Amino acid sequence: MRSSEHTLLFAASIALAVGVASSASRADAPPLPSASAAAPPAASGSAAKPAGSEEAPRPKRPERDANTCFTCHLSLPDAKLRKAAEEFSHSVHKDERIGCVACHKGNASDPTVQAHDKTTGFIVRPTHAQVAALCGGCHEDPTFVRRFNARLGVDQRKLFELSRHGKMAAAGDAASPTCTNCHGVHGILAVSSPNAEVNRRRVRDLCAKCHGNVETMKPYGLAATQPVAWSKSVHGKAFHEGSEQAPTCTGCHSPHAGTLPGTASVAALCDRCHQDERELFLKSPHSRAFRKLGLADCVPCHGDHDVTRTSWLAGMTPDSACAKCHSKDDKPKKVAEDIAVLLEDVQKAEHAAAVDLAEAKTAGLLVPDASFAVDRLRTAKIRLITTVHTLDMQQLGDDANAAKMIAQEARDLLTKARRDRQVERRGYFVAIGLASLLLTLLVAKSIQLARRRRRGES
Amino acid sequence: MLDDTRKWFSDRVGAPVLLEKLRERRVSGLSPTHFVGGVLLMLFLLEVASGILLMLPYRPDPQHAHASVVAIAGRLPYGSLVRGVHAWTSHMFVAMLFVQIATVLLNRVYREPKELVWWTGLLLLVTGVSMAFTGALLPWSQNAYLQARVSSEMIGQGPIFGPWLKRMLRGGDDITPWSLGHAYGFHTGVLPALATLLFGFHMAVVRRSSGGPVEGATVPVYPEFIVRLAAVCTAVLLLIVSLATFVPVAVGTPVNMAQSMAPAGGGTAPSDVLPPWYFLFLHDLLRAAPPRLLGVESAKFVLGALSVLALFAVALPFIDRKGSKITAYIGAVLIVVFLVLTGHAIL
Repeated sequence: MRSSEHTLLFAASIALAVGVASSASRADAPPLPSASAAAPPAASGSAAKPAGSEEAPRPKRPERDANTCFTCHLSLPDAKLRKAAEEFSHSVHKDERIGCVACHKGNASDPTVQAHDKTTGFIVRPTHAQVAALCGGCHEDPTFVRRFNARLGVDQRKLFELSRHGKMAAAGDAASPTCTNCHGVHGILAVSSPNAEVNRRRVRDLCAKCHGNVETMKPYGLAATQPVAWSKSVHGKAFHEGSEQAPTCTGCHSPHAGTLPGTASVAALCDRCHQDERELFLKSPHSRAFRKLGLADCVPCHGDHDVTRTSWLAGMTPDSACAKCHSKDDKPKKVAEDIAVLLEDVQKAEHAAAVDLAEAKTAGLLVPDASFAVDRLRTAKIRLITTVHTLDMQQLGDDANAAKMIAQEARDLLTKARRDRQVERRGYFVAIGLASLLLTLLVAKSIQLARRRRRGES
Repeated sequence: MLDDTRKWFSDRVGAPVLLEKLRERRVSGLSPTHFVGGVLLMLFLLEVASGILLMLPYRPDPQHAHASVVAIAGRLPYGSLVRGVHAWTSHMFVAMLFVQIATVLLNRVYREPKELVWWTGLLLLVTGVSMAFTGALLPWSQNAYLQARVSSEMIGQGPIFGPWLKRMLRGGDDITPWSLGHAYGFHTGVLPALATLLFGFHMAVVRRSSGGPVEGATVPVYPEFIVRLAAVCTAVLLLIVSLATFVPVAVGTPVNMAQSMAPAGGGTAPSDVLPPWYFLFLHDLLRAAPPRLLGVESAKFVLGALSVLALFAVALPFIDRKGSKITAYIGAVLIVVFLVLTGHAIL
């Protein structure tokens, strides 16, 4: 009796262990490829059920679950007909509730070729003019969009219509870009996906496909220099160095609206990041003069796509920003030259301190306080560059002096560290001397002991 | 006066008895194992002393570890010296452990009755290498991080215990901020305690097992051998202090997790990162080997072969009872292979 009970218990525990193991291995298995994830659960539903579970099969909901377009097209021998389904399987739209019929209409629950019947409203290929309305059909509907992504906006189509791209499309220009030109057709990916062409990391190349092509831009009277100019700008350089903050095309241009309505120049946007510079600039004599001359605040000195660091180009040299407007015998000439001298002084002081610090580091001398001072010096230099926008010589002089004092502090700390190191070295030589003396004595003693021992032996 | 003080002490401590015993004990005057053993003990004590000094200002959490090491090396008086001594001594310690094992192997002095000496010696080698290995991570610099990753990845390829050992060393599946706490605990607690026990046991068995008079043992332990050993130790100390003063040990840039995690999967580390020198031979072997050996991943194969070799080393006192020269030859070949591979990897 007892033994049979044991046997039963044993068998039960084995069964339990096997069950647990098999369901655990299922949990560890890699996620199913996205193609089958989009396939109707009618095919995969039974396989996904854990082994040994008593759960009843999930009732099918044909209106939601069936996407026979997808499964059929995926298995077609003609690569051209298969391509759409393959691309769709990676897309953000692969959710079964969106499916092919959302754009193409037709009857997705009909597995025969009758699904393409024109009476079902089937569209083979939406025309250029139809696309925006087709996308808007879902993307303008907040209740629909909210089911998938509550943070996704619903104003893309409206903004697009305000843009030059949208106006061109409305005017019937078939070469103008519509939704699918940037987002793709079947393989549409989320903007956050690194593989999406509209992703921050790739969007410059996407825009450059048209805006970097002279032939494409010619009919519209636009230059095709902006993408290259941006790449060479401070923004582009920071981006290529891996900055996550540097603005790409869509940093200033609204992704769907292009230029913002009612803004004359990109300068209206600079203060989204550069607040201090703009605030100081508005108080400067330049601000009023620029308004009078109809110049966009930031652009005359800094450029737009090719935003450069003109701060270090202050002065009256031919390529300096100041020399663009001020002539050699102008009254502000002295101010420009004075600013250039101040900036150069601070630049030199910073460079000298940084070189000094690097030399100390190479010599194995770590001076954390000095490297902190060099960091502070950098901050002080940025402050000085910001102050240039005021053209206030008093303030500039103060800021430059503050920066130079920090540079001096760094140099002093390094000098002190070097002196300390020398003292340590002197201590080292004393210690080495004493140790060598000890070594000599020990060697002498051991020789003496060996001699004495040998004498004793003999 | 001096004699009075000495008598006062020896009456209470009983030193003369011990010294008389040591006077009577004879060793061979140039026995390398005794010298290297003595130097190893000195190095260990030096490591403990400098390590305790370094423990005071060090902060074992990922946020402050690197900054505190920078402060030790840069701001604290003689901090860079203490740190230099600690680092250079650790290299010397591992090197001397290898020398000791090689000497014992070549002289075949692992045989009865010295089995326990041999085994504790092998354990000391493992403990010593582990101490150096865990200590290298503590500055929490990018290079230390990548080194630790490469080395533990190699250890993880070992048979049976490999993956477990890797997880144990890393404190998880990858090198994470928790690995630092693990490394610190091992480096300052577990391993030194283990090494102390092993050292004590090792020396006790050395004393027991070399009981009878040995041929050529003519030099009394006290004072002659001890004076000689003191001279050698002073010379080694001079070398270490000079190295610590003139060859600074870099702190490196702090760990940048985002940068290190970049290759998806986390298994591969940049190929220009070399493991510490005592693992270089392995690194070199793995790089030279074809991807698969005898149908096994070559990393697993090499680590498996090494484990077999280690088992062989443990069983050596039983395999080689009579002291045949063959083991000495095999040992010599292995030592040459190790030296050549390490040299090749460095150059």
